Amino acid sequence: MNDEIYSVKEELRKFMTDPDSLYEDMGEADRVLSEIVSIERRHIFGSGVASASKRIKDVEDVLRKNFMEE
Amino acid sequence: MELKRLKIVNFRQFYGEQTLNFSNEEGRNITLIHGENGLGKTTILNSLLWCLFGNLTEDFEEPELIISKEARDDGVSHARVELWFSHDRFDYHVIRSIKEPRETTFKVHTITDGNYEELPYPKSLVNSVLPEGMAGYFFFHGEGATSLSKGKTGSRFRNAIRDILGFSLAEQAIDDMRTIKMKWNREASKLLKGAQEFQVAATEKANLEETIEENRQLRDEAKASLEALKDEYTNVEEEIINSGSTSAERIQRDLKSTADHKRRTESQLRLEQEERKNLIQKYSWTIVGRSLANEGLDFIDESQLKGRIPAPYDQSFVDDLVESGECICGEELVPGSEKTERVLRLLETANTAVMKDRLVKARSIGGTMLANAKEFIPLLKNVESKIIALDSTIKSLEEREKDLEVELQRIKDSKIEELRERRNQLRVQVKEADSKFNSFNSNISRAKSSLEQVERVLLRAKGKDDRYDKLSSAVKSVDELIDMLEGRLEEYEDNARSEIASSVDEILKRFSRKSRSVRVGENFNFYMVDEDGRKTPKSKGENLLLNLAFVSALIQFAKLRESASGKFLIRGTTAPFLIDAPFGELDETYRHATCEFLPGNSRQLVLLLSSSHFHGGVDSTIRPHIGKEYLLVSYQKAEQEGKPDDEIEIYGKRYKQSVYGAERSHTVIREI
Repeated sequence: MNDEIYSVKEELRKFMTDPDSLYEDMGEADRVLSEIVSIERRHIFGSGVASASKRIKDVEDVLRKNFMEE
Repeated sequence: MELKRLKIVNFRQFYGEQTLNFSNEEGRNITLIHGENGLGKTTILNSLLWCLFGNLTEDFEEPELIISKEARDDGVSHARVELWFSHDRFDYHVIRSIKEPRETTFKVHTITDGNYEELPYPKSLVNSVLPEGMAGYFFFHGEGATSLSKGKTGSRFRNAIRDILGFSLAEQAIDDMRTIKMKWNREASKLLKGAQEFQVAATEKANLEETIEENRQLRDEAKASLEALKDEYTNVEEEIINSGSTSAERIQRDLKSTADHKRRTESQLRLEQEERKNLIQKYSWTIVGRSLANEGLDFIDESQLKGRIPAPYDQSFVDDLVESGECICGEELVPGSEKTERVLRLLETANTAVMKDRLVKARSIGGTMLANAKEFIPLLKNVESKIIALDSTIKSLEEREKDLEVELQRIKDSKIEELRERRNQLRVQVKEADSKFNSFNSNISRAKSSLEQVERVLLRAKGKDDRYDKLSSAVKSVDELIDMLEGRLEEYEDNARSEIASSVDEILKRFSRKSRSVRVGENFNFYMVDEDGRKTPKSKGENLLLNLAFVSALIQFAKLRESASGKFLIRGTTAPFLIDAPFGELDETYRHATCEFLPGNSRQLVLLLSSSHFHGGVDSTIRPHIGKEYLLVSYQKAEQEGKPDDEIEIYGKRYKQSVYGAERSHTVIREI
């Protein structure tokens, strides 16, 4: 019983500290999302970034590449 | 966000260039700044707010006079504040300057290997590091803390917390994917040009999805303002309860419990009305079919009695006679003869397996119909009587409310009259906001149901055009990505809410005198409740403690995520906690308590204290955690003429905080 509580607590702590880690094995969709979020990160935190339309264009390219190209 | 250095140039009483380096040392994370009243503690806090957001605290006098008076007298017409900080592995430099009359410039640079590169969107960067909506919490002005609770309602606060929790990248990704999805829907409809029916449906789909998105945003805004109004309404109710008039308190408490009772009864009524609707849907056909069932069963009974149905002979009996060539009366049955034909005509009414089955079914349906009809009436009567009783309870509660309102109205006190007026206005506003929220919800439901129909039509368009097929399948995938990311954010936010509440509870449990715990609402609005879970009014000191505990819990939560890989979420903002005059409303016990939990719970703590705040155990509690220590020294042109030296003792050494007969009047930041 204690072991069970401990493992639930550990899972919860893992989720609280690094929620993304629990989704690591979710595959394709996860990889695409991760690619998109890294574009957003580059646009928010990076330097020399162009306009919002350029950001959307970059995200769209990722989606096209993943969902429309053979 | 980790503060590194602050440079203040000609900003208010800080003449010339003054620099502060913040402590980042683990275990000695406090930067302590001593300063008597009027020497510039609040100006330091304001210099940070101004540098990052261009804002000043509400009580900052003459906000238009940013440039130091002494500097202006010297003919200098500009001031600036520079801040160096690091965040998410990057180093930044922020500079805001003002040149008379009101020309302001604001720039943010990233620093790589000592090189400064200007960022194109400085405001977005600053907001993503420390949302403006949270600035008042992390740069905490103790004396103005009560005004914070007024601003912590509504979606602005929730959005700010979501930013602190690192949601901004994922939220931006969701918005961008939605924009792209809309664009693709339009593209898809153009690809079906040749097929009129499908093109119309695809255009309709694009329109409907835009309608849903538009109404979703409006609904979220309406919900946030509804929540904010409800919070404000509760606050006004609390103000009436705490107005000091015992009659007003009793009446308002009674009104509150009557309103709660009414709300519960109304919700029960809605359930019963729903039950009535379900009963009617389930049984109404039996009422319509009851007379039909009665007639049918009577007919079957009568016919059976007369031997008409089922026929007294089977099909197999007739077949056997014809096959054997002899009737039961002994007559020969020759194929094709008149007698044989007569026997064969019996087959038209002969009893068959199908006939038997039909008869059993007819009897069973008729029987069920009658039984259901019999069951329905008492069930319906029962629900009806409950509805009548609930209706009558609601009416009597409404009467009670009216009586209490009249009683409250009789109290001749201008403050209570004003509060009552405000509460009544809010009641109307809550009702209006609620109906607005519901109307957006209905728009969404209607559009969703139309969308389902349109999508059914579009299923048939599959295979007509390869590009359309690809595009519509891509739209579906984008939809799934959006759902997935939204689901994760929701789950994470829920967990954050409960984790923060439990951290605040721990602090309250340890340090609050009364048995109190905290509730964190959907918009991260937080309030204290008593042992029975009832919202409880706070004293000014408790309010201050609660605010400090909340920010502290938020920082602690963000600290938990410092080592997170952060694929979808930015690492939570482990913002510094800068507190100006935190202990004004706290008695010694609460002061001591606050000093105990703040250093451990914060990543970086900057305390601006006057000597009156510094005593009462504060010094000894925080001393081991101090990494940097400064003193604000006031230089004044005037001669001393009996004015106090304002000395302070630090490490057993006495320091003067006022110097008289100086060349100019200004404040100097001196490191100890």
